[in-house]
Amino acid sequence: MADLVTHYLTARLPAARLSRPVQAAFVAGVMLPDLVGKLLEVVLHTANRFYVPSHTVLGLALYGYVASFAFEERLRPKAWLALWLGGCLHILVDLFKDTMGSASSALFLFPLAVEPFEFGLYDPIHAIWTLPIALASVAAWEALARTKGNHVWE
Amino acid sequence: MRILWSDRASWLKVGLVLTAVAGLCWEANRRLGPGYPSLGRIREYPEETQGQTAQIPPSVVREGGTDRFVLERDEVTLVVHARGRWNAGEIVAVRGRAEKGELIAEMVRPYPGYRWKRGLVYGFSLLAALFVAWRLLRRTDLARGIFESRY
Repeated sequence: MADLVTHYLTARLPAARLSRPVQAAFVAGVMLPDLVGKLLEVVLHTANRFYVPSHTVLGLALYGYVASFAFEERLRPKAWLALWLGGCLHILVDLFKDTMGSASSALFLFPLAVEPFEFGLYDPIHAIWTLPIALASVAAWEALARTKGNHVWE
Repeated sequence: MRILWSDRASWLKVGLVLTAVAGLCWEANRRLGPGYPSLGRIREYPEETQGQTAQIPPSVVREGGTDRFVLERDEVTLVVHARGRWNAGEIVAVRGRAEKGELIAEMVRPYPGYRWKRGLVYGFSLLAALFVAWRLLRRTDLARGIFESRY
């Protein structure tokens, strides 16, 4: 996985102009794939490939639907869409990794396609070198948002 | 469409979707598991996995050697044939072809400093997740279990 600081940053920038509850859903959506995936893989120790749907377009539509029930009824359709789009953005960012095809996100079209695909631009462990840049960018963005009064996204 | 998002029978709708998710997970395991065998599967079912491509995520080299090493993951070991000199304790990811209960490597990628790098990435990711959870929870009506924006 790319680090969640980078994922958070990729969600905050495009979501800035959305209404606040939808921003919250979008930010939560970008976190959703790794939270569900790691819960299944690391905490629950599920079978070999159970966690794959947490990083697929269809799987995220379903997980997002369940998560959307944490929002008020009037907001739910928009919240679901934001959760799903946030999840899809997560997959897009993950696709730039080079995991030799072993990452769940490489199977993002499952069950329609089972051939792994990724752009293969960087090794995920090298996120350690971009992490300080991501942290500095988040801090700068949040400081800028605070001066403009847009720092509350939830 | 409104019926999909209404509070009416919400437990039933969520239950049905979770059932669909479980089905999708089983399908992933059924279709992808055999196609990309795990280290344990290659060892236990050499005939079934013969010739299949395996992608082993970063794992520890338990026994080093020249042109071969023993890889360990989840307390299961597997002999891997790969050109070069390999040292015990190294962390490597391997892609290769299963052959008689062993692995013929097509690509081996060493990961120097894997543990501390992975630890830091996971540590900061956890902090980011906790930060988002805290921001969301303070707008959540815990009694009703729903997120309520004040806007």
